[in-house]
Amino acid sequence: MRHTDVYAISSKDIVFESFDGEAVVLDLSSGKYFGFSDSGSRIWQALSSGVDAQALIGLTAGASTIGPAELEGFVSQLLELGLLVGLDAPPQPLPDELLAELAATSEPLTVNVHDDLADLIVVDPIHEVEEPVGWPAVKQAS
Amino acid sequence: MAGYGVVIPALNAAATIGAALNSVLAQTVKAEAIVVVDDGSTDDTAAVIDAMNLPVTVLRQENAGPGSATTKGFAALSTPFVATLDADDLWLADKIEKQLGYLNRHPATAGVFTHWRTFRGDRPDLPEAASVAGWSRTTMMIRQEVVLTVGPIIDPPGGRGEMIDWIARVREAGFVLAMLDDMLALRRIRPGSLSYGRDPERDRGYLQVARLAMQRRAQNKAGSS
Repeated sequence: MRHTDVYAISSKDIVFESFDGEAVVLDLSSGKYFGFSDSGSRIWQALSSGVDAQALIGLTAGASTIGPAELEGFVSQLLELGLLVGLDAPPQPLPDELLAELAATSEPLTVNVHDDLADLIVVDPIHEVEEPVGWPAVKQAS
Repeated sequence: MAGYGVVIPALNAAATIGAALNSVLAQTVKAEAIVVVDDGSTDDTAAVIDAMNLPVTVLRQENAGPGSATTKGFAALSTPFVATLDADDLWLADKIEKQLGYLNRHPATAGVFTHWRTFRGDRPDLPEAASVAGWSRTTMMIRQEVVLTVGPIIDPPGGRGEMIDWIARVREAGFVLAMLDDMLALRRIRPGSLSYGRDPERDRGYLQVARLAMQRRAQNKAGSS
């Protein structure tokens, strides 16, 4: 049994960027993209950079604190969506600025899945070229 | 059949623009106007076009991205149909004829794309790749009203994904787009072109496109409630 709850981004097809604190995650293999609430963005950043999930329980998020059930539900979603995988590694420290950013949030932990661009992104062969493999290696939408 | 114009954005495309233009001139239905927008090339792109002595309008701009260059080309056309082509890709000779035929049979459809396959270097005849749906600039033919309604093609930071963003906006505006099963265009693969290889910086363009789509969705929701 692992003593910590540490996660990592599941594959190189999962790319993400934080735009002014708002996390946007894209799965290049399925063409789906993911938007987060303000607190969800912060927790995604912490989890995807290897912060122990247990260390996030009880932190102040807006007017309330992050409960164990709420966090567990959120992590389960991220695992089911294939964005994170469990990692057997030492946890990374929780950055101080994240505490302040989390305290300033106002929405519950949520992640939303969008597939309206999937047909456009998946058939765009740009990200799949690897010389030895040959061309194209376009993956099918699931 | 109503006339069509062609827009080709070109950046340092001296090696390929001749073949691209020849594939336009070889169409079984001739273009009314062909506009190449030189997006700040530092090679001989302009000289190569000039030397071909073709009925082509060349516009120039400071380097601003393929979406910006395409938008500039749109503004120079007044034809009822507009087709676009990347400067390193090729059309097959009956591409336009099939697309115009489709649009004339389907007056409620605002634009039509085609399947395409890739080729390497100067070997366009080697069928080394499968035919796939091409939601892309090279395969696109649209009615002029789409351009007038949807507005400029916006280049995301890094340069990738501007057509995904624009096509998404076309759909959101309520226009119907179709995809022909026919393989009617060829996409060139060469090192150094924007479409070659994997680049985290350019994946950011996709992320920006996804973010913009979410922002539009939130705005529409706010506007309709």
